[in-house]
Amino acid sequence: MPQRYTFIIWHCTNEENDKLMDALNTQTLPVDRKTDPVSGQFLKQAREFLGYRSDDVAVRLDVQHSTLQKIENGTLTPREGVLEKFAEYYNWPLNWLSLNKKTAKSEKFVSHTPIPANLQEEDQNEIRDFKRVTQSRTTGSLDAKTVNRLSILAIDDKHSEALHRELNTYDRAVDNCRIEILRALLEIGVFVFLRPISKESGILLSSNRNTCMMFSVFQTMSELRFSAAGALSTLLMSEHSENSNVFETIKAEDTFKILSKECYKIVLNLLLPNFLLDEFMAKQGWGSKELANPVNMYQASLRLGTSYRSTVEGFNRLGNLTSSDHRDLIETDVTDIKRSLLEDFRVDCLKEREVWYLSKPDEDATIRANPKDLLVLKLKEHSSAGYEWDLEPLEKVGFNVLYDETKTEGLGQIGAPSHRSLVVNPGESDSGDYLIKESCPWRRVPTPEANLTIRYRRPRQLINGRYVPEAENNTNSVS
Amino acid sequence: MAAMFLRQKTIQTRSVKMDVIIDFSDRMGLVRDQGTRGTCLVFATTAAHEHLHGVQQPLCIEWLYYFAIKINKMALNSWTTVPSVLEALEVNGQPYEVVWRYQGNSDFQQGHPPDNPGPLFYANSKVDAYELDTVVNLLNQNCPTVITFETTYEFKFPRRVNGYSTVEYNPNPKKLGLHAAVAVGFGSINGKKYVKILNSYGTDWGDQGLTWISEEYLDVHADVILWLRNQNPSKE
Repeated sequence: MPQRYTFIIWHCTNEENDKLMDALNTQTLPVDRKTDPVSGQFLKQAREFLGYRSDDVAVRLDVQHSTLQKIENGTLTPREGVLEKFAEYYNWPLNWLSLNKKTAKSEKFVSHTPIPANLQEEDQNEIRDFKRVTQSRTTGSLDAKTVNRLSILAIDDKHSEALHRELNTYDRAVDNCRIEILRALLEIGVFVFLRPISKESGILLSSNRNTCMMFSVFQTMSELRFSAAGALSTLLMSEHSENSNVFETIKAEDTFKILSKECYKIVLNLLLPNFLLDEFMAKQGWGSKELANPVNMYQASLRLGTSYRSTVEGFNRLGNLTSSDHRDLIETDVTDIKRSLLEDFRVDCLKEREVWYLSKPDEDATIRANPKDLLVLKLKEHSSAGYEWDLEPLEKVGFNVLYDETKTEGLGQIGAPSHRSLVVNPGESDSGDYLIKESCPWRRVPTPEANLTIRYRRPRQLINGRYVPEAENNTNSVS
Repeated sequence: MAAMFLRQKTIQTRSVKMDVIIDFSDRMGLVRDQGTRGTCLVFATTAAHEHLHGVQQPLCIEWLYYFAIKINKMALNSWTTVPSVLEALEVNGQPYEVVWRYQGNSDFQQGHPPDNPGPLFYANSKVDAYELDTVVNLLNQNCPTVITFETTYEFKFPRRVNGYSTVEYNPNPKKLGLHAAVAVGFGSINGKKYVKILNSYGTDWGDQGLTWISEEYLDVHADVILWLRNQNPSKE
């Protein structure tokens, strides 16, 4: 009986995605869930990753709190029905919650490439399956010639434009203000998978026949992009070594230690090429002074789709930061920046949520936010003249207005406009372009003074049983 | 049938009439619309000014606003202050509206005052802290009084009580910024005092642009009052 492996693909367009899914799904085989033990540790990690409290989960699953604790401690194996409730509540495919048991059949496919001993057993099993897929593929892989060409361009940042033309990201990068690295990986023939790997951020497998990359879903979007760039840079660097079979694990949290200096340089070239940073600064109207502001640097990192730290390093490489500015920026805690943007509004799980401050230069920019992220809007409102921003179009589609405060400019300023501070998050809203207007509510003929469009694309979560966290080209934008 | 009769009776019992003591709103100029600009003080002062001179056509908002901003050394499209508006009225006067028409959009491009504005009307003024008694005394003297006050949601959306548009006090108000309007009447319902004001939000607001503000609301949110006195006859 062949083993089943469900492939999770980070897709680009629907069409491309479907094509890839069709190709890969021909490899899928049925799974016998009864033989798959459930890892309580994994379920606990999944719950914490999603930010759920254990007592809430127990209520939703209709089980005792102590039962849930036993499941998470590994002392109790959940029944099939409970497992299905987990899958439904976590909005994940059921097979993610059941872990493949090491079987004699899958052992057969383990190649000579060593698997790090420090990996947890379930991660090792994932990798074994992953390697099996790698070896079973014979078409559509990244050829050595392309890797060699890319590696030559990637080493020197003078060639960043040429590198990104090769990766087919150059034109889109200028428009979208970020490099679509995952899409680029797919386009050059890398097999990309997302799986709930519990310890590592990414795994790269490459032989002279195939290149596969597996990334953990337990990371933020920017971490994932970094993992992807790290994997590609490792692959490109390997072209300069004798080793034709590469097996690397990438840990986002320790990336700066693990990646070599050369690899890290390539990562910056891949994610933050000079042309993109120049373009971004010009668009925002920023100079060195603005870049030294941690709030601006954090907002830049969100728009460029990279981590705060990488963004600082990217701009530093351009020579736009003094050494003291660079040090101060690196030492700034990102959570403190988020708090400063939210002013007196307090919210849970700030570490897992990004805080987007939408301002005038974002009018044409691409803004991408996840459902739990917070959007901070500071709108000029002519409230003393009777005008107000009508938030109903947002609330109607599921946006949550978490904070709404109007502040006037100062005492004695008769007729002065006020400033309305809003914190909203997309919540359960569907994709769409949502227009809000500043207008006079009592006027029989509405006369809007100002408009703001929030272009939101809901990240896909479960499509035909496959988890697709967020497409690279699915965006939120403000115009 | 009996229930319907009783219901009608109850409504009739509840209906209370405003005891209007003073109301010269019908002798004021037309209700105007400031749009989104921070020109409320100029509109209110102009309404009082038009009444002072008994002019048959509106006076020029843009002119008074232009010179008030200039006195304050503020950027174009800013708000105004009481001293700057009153100084402009005293020094620069006010021509008729037709010489320089008002634009209500805050993105407007303000030009320069016309070289030949025609007749100019001037006024002296007095400013004092808000007191209802002072306002009533001035109204009794047929003198419209400009009141500056904090606007709240209750002001933005006046309620209709007993057929009258009214603004009531809310102990937990959402403040929306300082505004100015001109008092043109005084009355009471069941002993509760109200000041009638002429606003500059257009005729869709309140009762054709007018409303009655409760004494309680003004006691909490009103700041200063100002009124105009004739300076001299118009100069050509």
